[in-house]
Amino acid sequence: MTKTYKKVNLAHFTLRQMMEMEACTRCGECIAACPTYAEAQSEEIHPLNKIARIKDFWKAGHLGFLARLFGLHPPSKEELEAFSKGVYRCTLCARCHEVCPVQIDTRALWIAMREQLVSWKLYPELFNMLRDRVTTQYNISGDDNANRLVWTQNMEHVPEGLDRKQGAETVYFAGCVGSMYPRVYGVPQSLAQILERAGESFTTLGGEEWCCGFPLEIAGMGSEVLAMARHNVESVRALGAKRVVTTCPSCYHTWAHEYPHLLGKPLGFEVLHATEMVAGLIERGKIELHPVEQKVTYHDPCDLGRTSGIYDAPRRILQAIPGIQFTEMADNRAMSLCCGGGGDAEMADPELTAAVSKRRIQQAQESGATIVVSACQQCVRTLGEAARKNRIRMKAMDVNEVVWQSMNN
Amino acid sequence: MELAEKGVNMTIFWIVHAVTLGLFGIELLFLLTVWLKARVPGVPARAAWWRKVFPAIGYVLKVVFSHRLWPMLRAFFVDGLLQRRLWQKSRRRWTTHIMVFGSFLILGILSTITGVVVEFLPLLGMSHEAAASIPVIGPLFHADVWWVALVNELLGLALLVGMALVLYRRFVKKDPQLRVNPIDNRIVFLLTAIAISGILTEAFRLLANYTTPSGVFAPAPEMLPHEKLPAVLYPMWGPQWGFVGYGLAWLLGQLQLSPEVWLAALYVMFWLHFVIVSALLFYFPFSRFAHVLLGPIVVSYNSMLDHEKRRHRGDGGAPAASGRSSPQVPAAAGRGTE
Repeated sequence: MTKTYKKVNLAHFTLRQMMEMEACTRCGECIAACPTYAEAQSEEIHPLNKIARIKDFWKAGHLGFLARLFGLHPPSKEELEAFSKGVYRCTLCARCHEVCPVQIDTRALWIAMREQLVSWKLYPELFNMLRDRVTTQYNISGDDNANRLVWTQNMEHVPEGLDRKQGAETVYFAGCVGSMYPRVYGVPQSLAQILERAGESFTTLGGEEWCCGFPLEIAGMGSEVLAMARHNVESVRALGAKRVVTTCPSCYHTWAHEYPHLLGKPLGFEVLHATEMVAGLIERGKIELHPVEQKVTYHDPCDLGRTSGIYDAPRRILQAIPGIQFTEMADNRAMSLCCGGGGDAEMADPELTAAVSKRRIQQAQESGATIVVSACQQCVRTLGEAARKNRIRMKAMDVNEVVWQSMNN
Repeated sequence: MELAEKGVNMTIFWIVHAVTLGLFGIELLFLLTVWLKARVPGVPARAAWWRKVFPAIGYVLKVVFSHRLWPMLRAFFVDGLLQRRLWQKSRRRWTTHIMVFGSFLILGILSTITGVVVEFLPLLGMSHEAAASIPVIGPLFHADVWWVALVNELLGLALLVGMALVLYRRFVKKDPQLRVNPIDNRIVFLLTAIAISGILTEAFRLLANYTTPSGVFAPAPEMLPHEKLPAVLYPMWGPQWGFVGYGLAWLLGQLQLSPEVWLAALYVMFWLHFVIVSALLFYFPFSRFAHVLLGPIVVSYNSMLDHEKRRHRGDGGAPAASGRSSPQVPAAAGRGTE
């Protein structure tokens, strides 16, 4: 075992997190709730172990002789590597927070641990590529960012004013996955057409849309996000828009909750998730819906539900569509299972996240539905892939795609 | 025959106790200086810990003296002390936990009050008789007042049974979601040792106090000197209400040993109990047991934040029954969830 001394830099954590780590009762509720541990059964993954390890590490480095008195030793290289593996094989779904008796804000804690690991240079190699792409190309795919509107190319009718229309009331922030991954082009296409049909004044940032920074923030590379926040917010302000709407829950979370904190002041415009806006349009009678005779279930995206607290808006939409028979999965709302697509975990361990996705698509199938609807292009992509790989006859759709289909039936 | 007269030097006890408490306080302060190396709102992350002290205190005061206080107090009581979330999850585990946590907490509070009545009020010039006459807390003057004996016994028994259940879950049942490690076990063994040594100390105290020179265990209030059991407490005297300790004392009393032997046993057990309690106190801040102190604080704050988030969004996260449609949400204008 190679001995290496790495002292935890406590500036990566908040005072609240220090107290939360001490408040961990080691009850193991989080172990039973962890979707990645359920698949991998590897001790390094579960929340209890991550908290116990980082506590041991910082105590070994900061308690002096008391640490040695209580049997704590500086971590070895192998221990640190195992710790890193556990921290990066987490989807940041925050299900552990929901079951924690002291309600530890686990998701923020895992991100703080990742920041520490980045400063120790103990993170998956692929993350360097992610950082390079986002900081130089301003998107996660590495494509030319000028192609941000490539998703419009196969549309029969492209709504007017999509590219930075001055004075538009709403800026639609499509996000990297929606903009650049062909499998989910249907998501931005649907929302753009819904907004146009509803008579909304909207536009996009076109080639000036930079990655919101979420993938870097959750990778533990949050120091790079400020520049993106500034650029995106300034771009919206320059158009004079009143609101930003996103189809991606992670972009929504970043805009709504991280940007004001990062910039140290309110944004000056409102931030909505598309489900909130579309639900409002339906309820104000601006959208005409026609029957969709399908049995559907809804998958709560982690960043929309647990992280942002939006559970009802997508359900209201689905229940407003005539003909839809809506059913819940066994695990839903705050206890929804993760689809496996979050937390950049797919970059660290694709087999593990595929197993997580499989479990969720099986649960969707058990609900008796034929379509699993979500409100996140990443969840739709992941669940669709899981259905295909596991030969499950089930369609994964974004809620906007269902709405657009209903409008055209 | 009381501890002091029988040779258990209470002066040494109080000195050592004060040192232990002082050490406990120093440990907490030391830990706080380490925690303050973390980020505190409004202070640069890399600032020295002492520069974060006042901003941290300021932040706490700002939270306490705000509309957030009430939801925090509610969460402190419901989630911190009554442990609602554990209750919702498992009644069996809740019962075990509350038996250990609750009895330990109440025994600690009672011991503190007893210390004040017995040691500090007389120092302030109050007579033992007057101190013993104070309503409610006065009877705490002596452990053989019937209801004090009963309460102590029930709490001690709850602690013992609770620890037995903890040990059973850890080492016999081996609950799969538990992660047992040797460091955690130190605390479990210390708590068990405290519960057992406490009951043994109680039995030996009864034997030392109420054994006649001929070796017969025959309790009577007059066997205690007046300044240790003022006459005002005679009507409330009833050590047999402490049924476990008393029963054990009665059993051991059948050996018909001299009071000096029991006194020696008491001496050893008392100091053993005290050393174990002191060891727990010393180890407390650095152990898993720290959650006893920090759990209620953290859950109060976090519950309050969650409550604010839910109130802000008006969106419910409670899981719905599967396989059924959620209730139809009435149409509302605008954003609906905000």
